[in-house]
Amino acid sequence: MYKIFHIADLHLGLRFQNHPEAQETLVQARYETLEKLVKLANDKDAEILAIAGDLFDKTSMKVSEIQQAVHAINRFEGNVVLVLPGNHDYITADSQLWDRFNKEAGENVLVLDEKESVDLSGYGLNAVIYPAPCHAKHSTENAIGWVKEEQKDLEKVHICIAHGSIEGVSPDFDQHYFPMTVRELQDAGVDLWLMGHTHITWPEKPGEKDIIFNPGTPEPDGFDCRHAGRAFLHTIDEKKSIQVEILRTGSYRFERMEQTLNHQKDIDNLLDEFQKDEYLKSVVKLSVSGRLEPELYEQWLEKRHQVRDSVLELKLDDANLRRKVTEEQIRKEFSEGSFPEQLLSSFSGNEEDELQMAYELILEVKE
Amino acid sequence: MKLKSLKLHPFAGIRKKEIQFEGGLHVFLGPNEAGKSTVFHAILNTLLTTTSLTTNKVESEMGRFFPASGGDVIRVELELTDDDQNTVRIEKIWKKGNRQGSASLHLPDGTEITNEEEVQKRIEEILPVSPATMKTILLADQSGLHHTIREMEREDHVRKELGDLLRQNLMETGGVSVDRFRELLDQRYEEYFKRWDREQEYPEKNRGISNPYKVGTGKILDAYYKKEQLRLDLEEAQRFEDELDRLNEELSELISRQKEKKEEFDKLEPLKKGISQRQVLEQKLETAKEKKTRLFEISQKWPVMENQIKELEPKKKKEQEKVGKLQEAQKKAQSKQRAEQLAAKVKKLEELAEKVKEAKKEVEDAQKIDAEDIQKLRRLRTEISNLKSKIEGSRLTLRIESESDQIIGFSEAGKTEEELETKAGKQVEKTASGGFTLFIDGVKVDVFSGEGDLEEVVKNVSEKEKELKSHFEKLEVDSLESAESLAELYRQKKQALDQAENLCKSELGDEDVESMKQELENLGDLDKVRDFEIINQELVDAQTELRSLSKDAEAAHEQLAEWKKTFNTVEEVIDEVGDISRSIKDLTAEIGELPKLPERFDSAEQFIDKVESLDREIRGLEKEISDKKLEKATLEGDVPDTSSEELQKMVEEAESDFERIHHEGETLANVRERTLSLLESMDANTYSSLEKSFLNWLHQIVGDRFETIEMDVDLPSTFKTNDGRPLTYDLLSHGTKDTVALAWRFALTEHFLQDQSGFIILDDPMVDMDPDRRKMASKAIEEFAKKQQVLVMTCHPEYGKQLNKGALFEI
Repeated sequence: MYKIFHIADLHLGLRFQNHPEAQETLVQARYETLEKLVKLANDKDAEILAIAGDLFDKTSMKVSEIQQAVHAINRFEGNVVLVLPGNHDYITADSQLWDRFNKEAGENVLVLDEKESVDLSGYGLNAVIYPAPCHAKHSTENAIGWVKEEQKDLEKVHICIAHGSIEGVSPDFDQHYFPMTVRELQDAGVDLWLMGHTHITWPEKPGEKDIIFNPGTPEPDGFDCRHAGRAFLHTIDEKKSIQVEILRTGSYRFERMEQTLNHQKDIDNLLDEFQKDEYLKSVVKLSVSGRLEPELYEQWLEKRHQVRDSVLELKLDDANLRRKVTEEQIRKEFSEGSFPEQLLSSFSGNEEDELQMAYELILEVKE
Repeated sequence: MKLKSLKLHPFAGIRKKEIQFEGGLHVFLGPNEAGKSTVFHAILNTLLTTTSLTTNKVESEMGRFFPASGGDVIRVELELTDDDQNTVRIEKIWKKGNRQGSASLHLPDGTEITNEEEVQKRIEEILPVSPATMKTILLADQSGLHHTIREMEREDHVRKELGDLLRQNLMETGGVSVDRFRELLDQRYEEYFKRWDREQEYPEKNRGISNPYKVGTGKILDAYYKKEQLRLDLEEAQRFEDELDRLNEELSELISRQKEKKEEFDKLEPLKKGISQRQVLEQKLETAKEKKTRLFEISQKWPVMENQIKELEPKKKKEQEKVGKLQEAQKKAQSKQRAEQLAAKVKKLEELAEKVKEAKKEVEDAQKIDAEDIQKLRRLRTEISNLKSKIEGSRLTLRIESESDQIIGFSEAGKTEEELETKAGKQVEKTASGGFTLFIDGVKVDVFSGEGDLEEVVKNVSEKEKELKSHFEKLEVDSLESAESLAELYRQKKQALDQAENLCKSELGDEDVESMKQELENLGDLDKVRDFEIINQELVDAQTELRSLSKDAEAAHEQLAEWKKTFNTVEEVIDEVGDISRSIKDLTAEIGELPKLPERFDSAEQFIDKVESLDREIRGLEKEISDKKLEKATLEGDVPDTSSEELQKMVEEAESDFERIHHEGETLANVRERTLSLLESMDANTYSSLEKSFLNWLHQIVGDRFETIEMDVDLPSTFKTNDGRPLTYDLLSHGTKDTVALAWRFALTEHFLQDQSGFIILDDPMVDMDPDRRKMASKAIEEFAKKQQVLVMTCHPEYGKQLNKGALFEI
C-alpha cells in the first residue's frame, strides 16, 4: 500500500497582469503554495508526489524561479517525485527549463520526459509509470496512444500520468490540447490515471470505481476557478483499490459576486459580508445592481470603499446600481417647466442609463 | 435703483442746480439743445464715464460739457436709492488735463471709495443692466429714440444680454445653470469622444492601432486602443507559440532522424574496418587465383612449344627447296617466251622484205616520167598558149562581096589554106587572128594586124609546137594530160616502195635477221617447258607458306626465350604454381575470419559508401539541429512575457471595458443630444414673453392698428395691419415708428429691470405723433411710470402739459 500526492497545473510564473493591485501577491502565492503542498505531502506520508503537468506556466522561466521551484520539490521526503511536462511547460530536446530543472533536482525527482514506461521497483514501489509528456504547447494528438500497446505485468500497479483535455470535462473547442476521451483512458489497461490540464477538480466526488483523476489547480488562478485549490491523495492497496482524498490547498480566491441593492439592509448586509477575514485573500469581481433612493445611493458611494479595503483586489461594477429617479422625485426637486425637469422627464422607460447620467450631471452643476 | 437727486455745479450751461427726484414720472421742459439734454448727459456720464481720462479724451468725450463761460472743471453729484431707501451717492469731477478728474462713491453703509477704477466697477455692478444696454435702451437720447430697433440690430451685446436674461427666467428655476450644464456635457463629451468617429465607430481619420494617436485621446479611444493593443499582443503571443511549436516539432523530427541514423551508423561502423580489409584480401585472392591459372597454363604450354619448334624446322627446309625449284622453272619459262618472240619477229621481217621486192619491180616496170619532164612540157605549152593569145588579140574581120561566083583561097595566119566560095551578089564574112592571107586568082594578099612582126610570132608558135610534139613522142604520150597522169602513177609506185622499205627497217631495228635466227636456234627445243604464270603462282604460294612457318618458329622461339628469361625452366614454373596455391589457401582462411558483408549490400564499396554517407548525414543533421536551435533561441529572445491564455483573459476584459466605456459615451451623447434639442425648442419660447409685452404696450399706444407682429427671434420684423397688409419696420411712418419704438422700449425695459426698480429716460418721445396717438402715448407713459421712474425730456410745453401726472421741471 502506498500513497500518491497528486497535483497539477500550479502554473508558476503566471503574471496576473490584469490584477495590478494583487499581482505581486498572486505571483508569489504560487511558490508559497508549492512549498505548502510539499509539506502537506510530507505530513500525509505520501510515497509518491506526482505533478501531472504545467508546474510552470511557460518554458521561458527565469533560472531563479526554476531553482525556487525545484528546491521546494527537493524537500519531498517520500520515495519519488514524478514531474510530467505539460503543455505550458512542455519538454523539447533542448529544453533549457528542464535542463535547469534536472540540474537542480534531487536524486528521487524524475522528469518524465519520454513515452517510456518507468518501473518504480527501484524506488521500493510496486508500480509501473506510463508518462505522456507534452512536447509542444499545442497538439491535436494526445500522447497516450502507446500505453495501450504496452505489455503489462498483472502483479504490478500500472499508473499513467498524462496532461491534456478530456472530452466532456475540459473545454477544448479547437481540439488542440492533446485531446483524450474517457473511453480511451479506460481502455488503456491502466489501473490509475493521474491527469492534469483541466483547472477544475474532476470527478468532483470520486466514486469507488473511478480510476481517472484530475485535481485542478492547487492555487486558484482566476475567476473561472471556483474551488479553493485542490490536490488529490490517492491510496492504493495490494488489491489495487484506490481511496481518494480531496485536499484543499489554495491560499487565495477569486470570487465573482452579484448583489442587488435596493434597500438599506442590502447595503448593510453587503458591507457586513466583506467584514469576513477570508476576503482579505480574495480578488473580488463584484457586480452590483438595483435601485436606491438618492440618499441611499449617496451612502453607497460613500461606503463602497469599505468593500475595496476589505479585499485583496476589487473589480467593482456598479454601473447597474442606480438612483431611484422617479417622476415624483423629479417634480419634487425641480419646478415644472424648468430645464432640468423637462430634460429628465423627456427620457422614456428604456432610456434609464440616459436618465441616470443626466440626473448625475445635473446634480454636479446644481447650486 | 432709482434716481434720488442730481446736483450740477457746474455742468454745461448750468452753473449750479440741484434736482430732487420722486418715484414715477418727471417731465423736463426746456429749449432744445439746452437744459433738457444737460440733465440727460449729466446722469449718463455720471453713471458710465470714468473721470480718469487723458487730455484728449477729456476734450472729445466731456469737452462740450465744460461751461461756455470758462472754467476747467465740471462736477456732478448723483444719488440713487433702492426700494429700501439704501442710498448710494456718486460724485464725479472732470478736469481738463491728463487724468485730472476724481470720483467718489458713498455706499449705504457709509463706506467711501475713491479709487476711480473701483468706483466705476462698483457703479456698473449697481446698474441693473450692462452699460451698453443702459445706453441703448434705458438712457437712449432723443436721436436714438426711434432708432432703438435699428440700434439693437447692431448691438450684439444688448441682444445677448436680453436673450440670456429671458432664458434665465425660463431655465434657472431648478437652480441649475444651463450654461454650466452644457459646458459640463461638452467637457464630458470631449473626454469620451475625443478623436473617436462615432459614426464609423472607429478612431478618427482611420487611425487604428497601427497608427494610433498618442495624445489628446478620449476615454473611448483609449479603451479601444487598449483592447486592440492587447488583441495584437495576443495574436503575437499565439504566433510566437505556434512558431515555437513548429520549431520544436521540426527540431524533434531532426533529432529523431539523427538518432535513427546514429543507431544505424553505430551498428555498421565497427564492421567497416573488417569489411574494408576483406575487400583488400579478396582482391589479393582474386589476383593470386588469376596468376595461378596463368602459370599453370605456361607450365602446360612450355613443352608443347618446344615440340612445335622441332617440328617446324623440316617443314621449313622442304618449303625452301620447293621455292628453289620453282625459281629455276621460272627462268626456263622466261627463255621460252624469248624464243616465241624471236620467231614471230623473224617471220614478220621476211614478209616485209618480200613486199619491198614487189614494190621495186613495180617501179621498174612503170614508164618513167618524172616531174622535170612535166615541167618542161608545161612550160612549152604555156609559151605556145601565150603566143597564140597574142595572135588571137589582133583579130580581123574580112567581108567579101564578089560580083561573080568565085573560089578564093583563104588562110588564117599560121594556119592551113581553105577555099571560100563566093556567090554573086552575096557577101562572105570571115574572121582571122593576127592576119590572113587571101589567094584570089593568084594573087596572094597578106593582111597583118598591128605591128607587123606577127609573122615571127606565128613562126615561133610553129617551132614550139614542133618541140612539144617531139617531147610527146619521146615520152610516148600524146598530150600533156596523159604525161601528167603517167608521172603521177610513177610517183605513187616509188612512194610505195619507200614505205615498204621503211617498215622493214624499223621492224628490224639494230638487229639483224640472221643473228636472230642464230639465237633462236641456240635456244633449242622448249616445247615441254610449263607456263610462266602457273609457275609464278606456285612460287608465291610456296613463299607465303615458308614465311608463315618462319614466323611461327620465330614466335615460338621468342615465347620460349621470354619464359626462360622469366622462369628459367619449366620446373621452376611448376614450383611457383605450388607457392601460389599455398598463398591462396592462406588468403581464403584469412578472409574467412573477417566480418561478412551484410546481405543488403552488394559490395564492400556500397557498404563503405553507406557508412560514410551516414556519417555525413549525421553531421549534416547536427548542423541543421544547431541551426534550428539557433532559430529557436532567436525566437525565444522575443518571448512575450505573458502567455496567450492569460492574454486571452486580458483581451476579454479590455473588450468588456471598451463596451462599457463606449456605452457610457453613447449614453452621454444621447443625454447631450437630448439637452441640445430641448434647449433649442426652449429657445424658441424665450422671446414669447417679450413679444407679448411688446404687443401689450403697442396696443396701448396705437389701439388695434396692428393685428399681429412677427418676431425675427428677438426683434420685431413684420407688422401686419388689421387690413392684412404686412409692413416692415422701415415702411412705417415716422409717427408709427416712434410709437413702435416707445412700446418696444417699454417691453425691453420691463424685461431688463424685471422685479428691480429702475429708471428710463425718454427724450421727446412724441414729436412725430399725431394728437390722438400722443394722447394715448401719454397715457402709456403714465402707466409705465407707475412701476418705474420715468424722465421725459421735451422742448414742447404742450406735451409737457399732456403728461400732467408727473412732476414738471423747467430748465
